[in-house]
Amino acid sequence: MLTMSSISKKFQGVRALDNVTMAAKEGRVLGLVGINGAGKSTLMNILGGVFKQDNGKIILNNKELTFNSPIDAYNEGIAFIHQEPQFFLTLTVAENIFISDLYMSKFPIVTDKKKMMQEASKYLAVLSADIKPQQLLEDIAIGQRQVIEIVRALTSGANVIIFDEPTSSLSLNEKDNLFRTIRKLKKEEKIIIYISHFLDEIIDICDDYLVLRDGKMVQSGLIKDTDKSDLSRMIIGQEIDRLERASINTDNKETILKVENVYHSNLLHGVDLELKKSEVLGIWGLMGSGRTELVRAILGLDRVPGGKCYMNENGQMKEIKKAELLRSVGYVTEGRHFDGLFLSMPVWKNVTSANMNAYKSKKLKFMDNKKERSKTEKFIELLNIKVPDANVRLANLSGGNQQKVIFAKWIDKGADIFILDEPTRGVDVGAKLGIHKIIRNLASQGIGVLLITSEIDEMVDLADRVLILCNGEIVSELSGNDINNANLMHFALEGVKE
Amino acid sequence: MAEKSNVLQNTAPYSGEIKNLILSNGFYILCIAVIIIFTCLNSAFFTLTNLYNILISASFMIATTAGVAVVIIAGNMDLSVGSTALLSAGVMYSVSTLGLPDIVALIAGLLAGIIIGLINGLLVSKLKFNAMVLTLGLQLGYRGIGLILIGGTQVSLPESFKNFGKIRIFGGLNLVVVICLIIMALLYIIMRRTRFGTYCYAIGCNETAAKRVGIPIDAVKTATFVISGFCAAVAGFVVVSRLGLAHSYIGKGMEFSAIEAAVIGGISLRGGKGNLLPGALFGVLLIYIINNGLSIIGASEYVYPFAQGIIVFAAMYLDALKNFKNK
Repeated sequence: MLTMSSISKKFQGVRALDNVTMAAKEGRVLGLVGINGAGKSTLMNILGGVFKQDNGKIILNNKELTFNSPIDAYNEGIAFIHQEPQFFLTLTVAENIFISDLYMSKFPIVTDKKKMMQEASKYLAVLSADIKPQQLLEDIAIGQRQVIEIVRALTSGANVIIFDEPTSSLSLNEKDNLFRTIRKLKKEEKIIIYISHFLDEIIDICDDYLVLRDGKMVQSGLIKDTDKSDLSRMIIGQEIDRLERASINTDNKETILKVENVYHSNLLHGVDLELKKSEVLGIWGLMGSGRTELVRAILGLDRVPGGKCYMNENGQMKEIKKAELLRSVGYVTEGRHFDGLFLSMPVWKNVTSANMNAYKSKKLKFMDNKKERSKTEKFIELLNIKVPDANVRLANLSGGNQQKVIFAKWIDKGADIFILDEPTRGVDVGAKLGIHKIIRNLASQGIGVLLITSEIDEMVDLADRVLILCNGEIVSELSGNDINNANLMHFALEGVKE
Repeated sequence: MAEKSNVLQNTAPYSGEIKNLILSNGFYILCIAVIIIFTCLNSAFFTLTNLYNILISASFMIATTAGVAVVIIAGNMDLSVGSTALLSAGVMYSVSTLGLPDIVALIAGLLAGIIIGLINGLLVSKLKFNAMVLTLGLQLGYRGIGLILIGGTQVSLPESFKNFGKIRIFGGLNLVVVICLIIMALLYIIMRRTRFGTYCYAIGCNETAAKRVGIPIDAVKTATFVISGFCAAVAGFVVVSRLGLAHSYIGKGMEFSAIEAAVIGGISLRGGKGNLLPGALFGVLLIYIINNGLSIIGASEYVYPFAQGIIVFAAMYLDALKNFKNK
């Protein structure tokens, strides 16, 4: 019996978990559900020893546990199948599986590679994965890598196994195998916690459920006492603080960007799309449907074998190189700390960084810092960025304000196409509303916005038109009043079905 | 689905196994090409005596590169190996003047290398110094101590050192060369066959992941520096035994030659990738083959760096091509 009682956790003032209690029993699968940002991952990261809770206790088999690192959790038999697994790309599959517990041969200090290969292929066969243990990990497709982490947990003999969105990168066949494995683990009296967006999967594999919303417990109980529509009601909940939906008809608007036939290894299979002036075009699809890859392919950030881009130049659609497109759009990336910001620089340098030519003097090309600062002050007021002054280093800003600085940067550049990948990830509710207003404003000024988000509400509130991306193909298009929670949820749930 | 994958293959214009083969073995093809060119220019190049000459002149670099390669594979950098070689030569000299048996002087010299490695390793792993900056700074100090110990431009060591350098086995191959090759081979086996070696590759590849699976990162990192320090001390001994002298120029530029050799031999500076054998060994040999070949065909000494630069660039270009294609 595993109990996490009254767990609370705050991140930089944002309450990620508020008094959450969870109980999981041997031989049963607990389904943990909720939208992105509901606190599922935070809760599991606490159980996995990645974060430490501010309040609350973890009790496993009547023993209170404190974890200071993931290794502590691992040693207590808690294995975490991460959503974004970390691997050693230059080692073999077998070495990756057994890295924390390498088989040693009789000869001292020498590892027993043969035995590792054998054991690894045994476990891989259980999952019917088409992977050879002697392959280097960098040669394994990203979609298959998760299997390796599952095998790693199985071989470590863990008693508590947490699956964090395990099927998002698995094929249908691999998924069946995974479920068979989970059922086997159930028979062996393991405690299994299963996190997923897909309610079908939850109903299929889980025995109990716990619904989280905005870091709070909504309800828990037995799966057999509930059904899909009940669950989705609990997950979505009552709406708070939302922008009035103001979808416009964009049929007659001018096209500003056209993309044809984009391929990306096995992730995208010929995607076409057209972005019109002053519309917000949403791309709705699950994690692993190829959303981010689509954008990266369009912008030429990943080398892809196929795909053409056209841009509107004075009313004419002209083919352009993808790298050129990157130069003329505002691209708000998925991970702002990773590739969106200069964290150690002050706000004003970040704001003007995409448009530095506008601030240099005519002859000697010196930067006009005064001008940069005053422009930044304007943006701070315009976008309601909450900072004491423009000199604050960006690392000291909250997530929402950092995100607004990114918007300011691209607006300053004068981009007429905005590509937004998860624009409000890790942003608190108030700032989220502010960012939504900014996006609406941009569109009303004639800017075309391409929006990718996994938050259903955000999509409904902002998008004028939604393309449904599934397994690397556009399968449907929604517009007007068809864009609603029920429809999008439907596509999400049907998501991986072929 | 089948249709889709066909489309994909058609849109990807890459084909040709031969091209692949050439790219993935480009470095060795380059080595062979260089050897053939020198042989054509002067038949004296491709003889057993000359091969031994190349090995003798390369021997100390073989040992150094082996150690540096271990550090690089674990994701760090050691720029102090040249100074360590000088310092250990200095220690050997000053201990030998104390009237102790010569073997004690040798052991003291090797111990000095190990201690330096330990200092570097502990500072990098425990105090989180940046390895490159730290070793670049400390090597000045190590060199200084070495120079003080030697106390002149050139000092003689006991005869036994020189005699050891003269021992030949296998019909003329110096024992010191064999020792250096054995060190390289042993480290290769350690890196590829032991738990420690696997940990080194894992840490160099992805330190976050290594932490997550509970690898003792600090201990492994420290050990790599100790290995590197020991290898540098051996290199110092090899240089000393060849001449019977310790001089103040020992180890000048050795660290960069070692990195150069490791990199052209396919060891990634980002860590986690590459092999000591045959990669790093041939990296060293290529540099000495070029020098030796140029001297045999009677090229001006001023041409050496230029020719070396060209070849090193070619090797790196081939590697870049390979990586570019893989992406």
